[in-house]
Amino acid sequence: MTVQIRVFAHLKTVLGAETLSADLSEGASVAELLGYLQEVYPELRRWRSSVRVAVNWEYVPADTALQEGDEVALIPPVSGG
Amino acid sequence: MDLAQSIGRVLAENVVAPHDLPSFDNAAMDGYALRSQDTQGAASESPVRLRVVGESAAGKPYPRSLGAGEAVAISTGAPVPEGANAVLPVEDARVEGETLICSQPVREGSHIRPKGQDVSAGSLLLSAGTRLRLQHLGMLAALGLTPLAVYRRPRVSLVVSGSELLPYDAPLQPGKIRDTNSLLLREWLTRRGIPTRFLGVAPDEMDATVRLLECAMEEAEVVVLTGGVSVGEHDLIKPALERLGARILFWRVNMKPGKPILFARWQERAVFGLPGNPLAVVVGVLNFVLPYLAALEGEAEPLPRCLTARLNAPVRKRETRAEFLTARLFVDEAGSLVAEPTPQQGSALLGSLAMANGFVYLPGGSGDYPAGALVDVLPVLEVIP
Repeated sequence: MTVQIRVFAHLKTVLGAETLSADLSEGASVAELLGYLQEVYPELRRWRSSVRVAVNWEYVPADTALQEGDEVALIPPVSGG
Repeated sequence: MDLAQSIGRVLAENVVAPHDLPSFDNAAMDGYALRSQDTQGAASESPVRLRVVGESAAGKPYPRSLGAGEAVAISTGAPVPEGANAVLPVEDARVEGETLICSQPVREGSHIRPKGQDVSAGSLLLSAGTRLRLQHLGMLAALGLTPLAVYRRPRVSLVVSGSELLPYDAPLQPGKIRDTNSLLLREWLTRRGIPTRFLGVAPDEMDATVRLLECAMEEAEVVVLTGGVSVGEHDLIKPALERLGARILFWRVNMKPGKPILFARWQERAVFGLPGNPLAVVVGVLNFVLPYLAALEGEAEPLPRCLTARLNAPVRKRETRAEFLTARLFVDEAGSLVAEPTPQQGSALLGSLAMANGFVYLPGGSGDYPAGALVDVLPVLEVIP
């Protein structure tokens, strides 16, 4: 299944993109998506613990199962001053 | 540079704590410094009596070490005498003459702010590339960290172009408008501590424009121009820069407002050509000019800081360009940051800008955003100065 990913704030510079899509196995969870993204973008590890994830505009916990066509938002914490 | 003048500047070297903060154990409450072990076994029916042998006041410590069965009156912030390891707050103390009566044990360490609790000697406090802000001032002052090595600030010269422009304090004339860009740019950059000089209005005439640009580039490391960068017959900035031998590194960016933005280099100088529309100027400054100036000054994280907000109304995006919408940002009853785009959107709409305290950023590509959609927002001006 394919999910669309919107990248927020300074994660855009970490990932080098504003939008991505990922092919995942059926029923993959948010945590599995983050694990997959970390393999592709090792720099994401620095942020992993603090990135919040929304699916179809609602914040969800990491064990949420994703579905075909879901729109996932990766939102980093506010940092710096 | 002296610490007071360094606020707002970028550190040129790491700052390490030269000593502990606090630099000595001190009392967190007014009361009596004592030896916790003396009070073990104290109870209301069998109280422990300690002899009050002196006082430790802020700036005037008790000069001796505390012996067994002794206590010292102590005020908040005053050094805890050697030998003492707890403070009994005055509210809990019963004193008869020179005798402190403890009717319960006092736990070791209670009401003491230990040496090094706040900052420990030798720790890295701030890295080179950090912009010093008011919140850093107290810590640096307490540690006596002055003077500090900070980077020099780049200077900016400003030129606006357009034969239609009148000074903002002039009476209107038919077909003319008041120049708002030079005022906004000068005030904005100056308030950020960037020495900024307005060199004047370039008329829609080639030779005069070239002369003014030459002058601007001699004055400062960074030149900011507004107007005259589009494709009209009177848009002279690009040909004037080319005549001066400047290298145009980019021209036209896929965003709205601000499409005609131009960036050029002339020798070591950087030139930003912003469009004349005032909102395009604001968006251009936020996304290009300020990050460039911050990077030039050595700031480690020069890019604008986005927050994430929820749209409180649907937005239909027909453009494929990335868009910046003027918006009012506020926190709702649930504690979420909300963005309400102004009713009208347009690169010339100063009234909409006056209603806004930030921009909503919508990335490239068309599509609809429902109410409640999460978006990046850029707070501006007085929200995060």
